[in-house]
Amino acid sequence: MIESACKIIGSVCDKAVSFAGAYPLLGWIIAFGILLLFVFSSVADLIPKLGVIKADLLLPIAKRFRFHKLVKAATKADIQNNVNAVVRRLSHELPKDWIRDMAIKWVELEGKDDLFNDDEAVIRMRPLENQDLNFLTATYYFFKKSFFPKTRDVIPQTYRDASVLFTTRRVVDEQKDKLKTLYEDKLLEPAIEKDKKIITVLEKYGEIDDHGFFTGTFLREIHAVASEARFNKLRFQMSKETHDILAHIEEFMGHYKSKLADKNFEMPDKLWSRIGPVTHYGFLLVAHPIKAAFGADAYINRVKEKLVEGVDRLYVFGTAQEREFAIMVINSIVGQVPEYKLVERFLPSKDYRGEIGGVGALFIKRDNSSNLA
Amino acid sequence: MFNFFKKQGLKIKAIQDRDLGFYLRRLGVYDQIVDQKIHCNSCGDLISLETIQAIIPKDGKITFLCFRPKCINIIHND
Repeated sequence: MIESACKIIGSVCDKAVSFAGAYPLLGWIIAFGILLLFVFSSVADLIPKLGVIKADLLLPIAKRFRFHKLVKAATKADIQNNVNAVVRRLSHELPKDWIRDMAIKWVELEGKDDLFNDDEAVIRMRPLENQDLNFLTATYYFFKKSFFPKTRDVIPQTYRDASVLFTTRRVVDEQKDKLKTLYEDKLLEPAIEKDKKIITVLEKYGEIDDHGFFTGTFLREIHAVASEARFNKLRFQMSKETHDILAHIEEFMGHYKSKLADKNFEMPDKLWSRIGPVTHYGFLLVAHPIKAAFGADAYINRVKEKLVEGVDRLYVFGTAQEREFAIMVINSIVGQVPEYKLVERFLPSKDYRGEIGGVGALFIKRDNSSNLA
Repeated sequence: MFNFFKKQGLKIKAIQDRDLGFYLRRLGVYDQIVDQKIHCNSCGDLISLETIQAIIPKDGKITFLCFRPKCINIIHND
């Protein structure tokens, strides 16, 4: 068998060499073209946006010729690269270390031992005609696996499922219309059927996400609380705590919107922070550099006040319009308030005024003995 | 070619439609499925080659989810 394969390869090589000898220019052009394709294919595996182009090239060829290996390569390239292109953007918004690129692994050559050792589900990819469904299933499963690392079992299921559904919806919204229908029929409807409360939670997520607080504060905060509550009795209060955090953010946003509508409206001081059984978080909204005639000083003073109040997790948000100023304030806090440690910077999809863009940062108090980062 | 530049991604294990039968034989469950002896771990309906959507190792056993939306929905540790 191997001998005959070697003979075939040898004969092909001989023919290629004799062809190149007869038509050297054409031979070099073909060799260069093959090399170029090989390099493009390899680079496309690193850059999702290039990978999407690779998938767009492969899909029609695979649909036309139906070679099994080509169909598999096209299926994988299409799903993996489309998901990763979206995920790379989301990774700047979601808590750090939550999201990595997706890597589809075909398992047909694996056995029982691999299945149990990996302890991972194997999902079925339907033929290329069902690529939308394949994409949706893979995306949903990917977020389910990625969200709330280590705290998955501590986060109340309604909030956890709603978080995954909500984020999947955001990915779907960026894709074609057909996917939205599939999302509603295959994911949303069954999820609501299983747990009616999900619909209310999704609405609330939508409201706070319009101001960057869903990924900005809510997900980070419940993950931090759950990390701390994993091995103590607080674990059994996670439902109430998650509900209360969401309610607080909603109330804060509601009052902030009233302030946007009426400049004389005074926001109650207590809403700028919340003391829970595990965390004491607070907000600092940065804008209006004109008012801050002395650079970031006014904001630094407010940060120091938060420190005195005992806020141990400080969320700083800046508007899209005043992005550079907000970054300057964040850098000034790093330099002038050493009691707070900058844990991460993030880029919410919308700023607190509801405009696309904005910046955010999370600081934690250094003397905080708990590991809330 | 450039794999050394690539960060380790989150692995999603998948099986292509056409490889399903071969894979189930490797797992030693093909005949049981063809003979309709296995049920969906979520809805309890009989599983067939056409209706399998996920294969999940659970408590030392190989379990299956069918293609119904409500069953796909519970995939992964629920």
